[in-house]
This record gives sequence, structure tokens and C-alpha cells, in this order.
Amino acid sequence: MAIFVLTDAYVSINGVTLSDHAKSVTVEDSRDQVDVTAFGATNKTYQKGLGDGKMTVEFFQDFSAGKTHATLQPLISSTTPFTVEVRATSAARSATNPGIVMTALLFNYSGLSGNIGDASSFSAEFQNAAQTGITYPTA
Amino acid sequence: MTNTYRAVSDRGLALYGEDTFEAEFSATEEADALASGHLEIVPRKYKVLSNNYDAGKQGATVEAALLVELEAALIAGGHIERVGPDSDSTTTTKKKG
Repeated sequence: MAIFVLTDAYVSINGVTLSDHAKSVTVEDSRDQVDVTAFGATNKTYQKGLGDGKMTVEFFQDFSAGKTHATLQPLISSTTPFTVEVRATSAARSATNPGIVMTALLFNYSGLSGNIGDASSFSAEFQNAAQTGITYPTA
Repeated sequence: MTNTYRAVSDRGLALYGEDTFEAEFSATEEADALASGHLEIVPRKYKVLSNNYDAGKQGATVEAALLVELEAALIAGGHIERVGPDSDSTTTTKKKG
């Protein structure tokens, strides 16, 4: 896959495909930057600390059965981690279209927001909830 | 809502017996029992109601071993419903714990 325009991203939440209601996705796979600079040093030195993962998806709201609200609202009160997967395209996982997968909890669900005349959209933030962090399977 | 479990360790067998059994665990109790390796969830059949559930097409019957809260989320969301009897003939019902 060469440079591409994101038009057909795949978004799956708890095994439910919500791609046709999503308009943006942001994946943050990060490591803490730990300062290990000691006395006598002339430059700061850092090491990597704990990893973290976060995915933020912006959705168009839909209160129909099986759509965004029906899928996400039960998860905001759930304490059981679930799988979130996004891909660059809706095609199957491959070396050029890896899954970006995280076992997550939903910590922020802004079920209704917007101004007059706007499409009703909202964001949902999924935070890592497992020691595997974010993985990038190709099959 | 109850789920069906099977003991898979000596400790699990001692605690719950050899049969599969129905129990209404909290999400935490279930997670602890599964993580400790004492129990496993017995897969059950579900009818797929929505057209965007990855495990099967709308109208299809799929078999899955779902954690109690995730099953509740999918049922509440209108994605799946349980089909068939809640338990088979070898299943006994136990109180949680």
C-alpha cells in the first residue's frame, strides 16, 4: 500500500462493525518517557517506561437498534474489556492492511453533542485495558 | 443473566463439580474464575439480529463463549439473542460462589 487517502477505514467495537457511522479515528500507541538523568550528567537521558494505548473514534450518532448508541452505551457502564479494531481499509487483514487491535474499556462516551444545523456526531475514547497493549496483526 | 460454565482445574472441580453448570456471576466474579483457570465458559448459540455483527450474518446462528457483560451489551444493543434452551440435560444450576 502506497500513500493513501483514508476513505474506507474499518472500525469494529466489541465485534460490531460501525465503520459506516465513523468519520475519524485516532490511534495513540505510546510509552512513558522516563527521565533517568543522574548527577554529573551534561545532557538529559530518557528511557522508555510503561506503554499505553488509546483509540478515539468520532461517530455520527444513530439511536437505531444495532447502531452506535445501542452498541456503545452498554459498554460505558461495563467493566469487562472488549476488543476494538481499526484498519486502514475494510479489506481483510494483511501485511499492507494490518489490524490495529486493542483490548479496551470505554471511558468517555459523549452520546449527544453538536450545534444547530450540524450532523449529530460524537466521540468515544477507548483506553487500553490489557497487558498486550495495541497489537498490529496481519492475519 | 446466567452463563454456562465448565470446571477445568482440580480446584474448579472441587468448587463446582464436574458437570457444566449455570451460574449468575458478577463480571468480577466471572473474570476472577476465568483468569485463575478454574472455569471456562461453555459456548452457546445466538441468533444474529443486526447486520453489522462480525461473528455472523443477520439471521444466522453463531456459537460463542461470551463474557457476561459483553453478552449483555450485545443483547442490549440488538445484535444477538440467545437461541435454544438455556441449559442442556447435563447442566446443573448452582448458586454463585
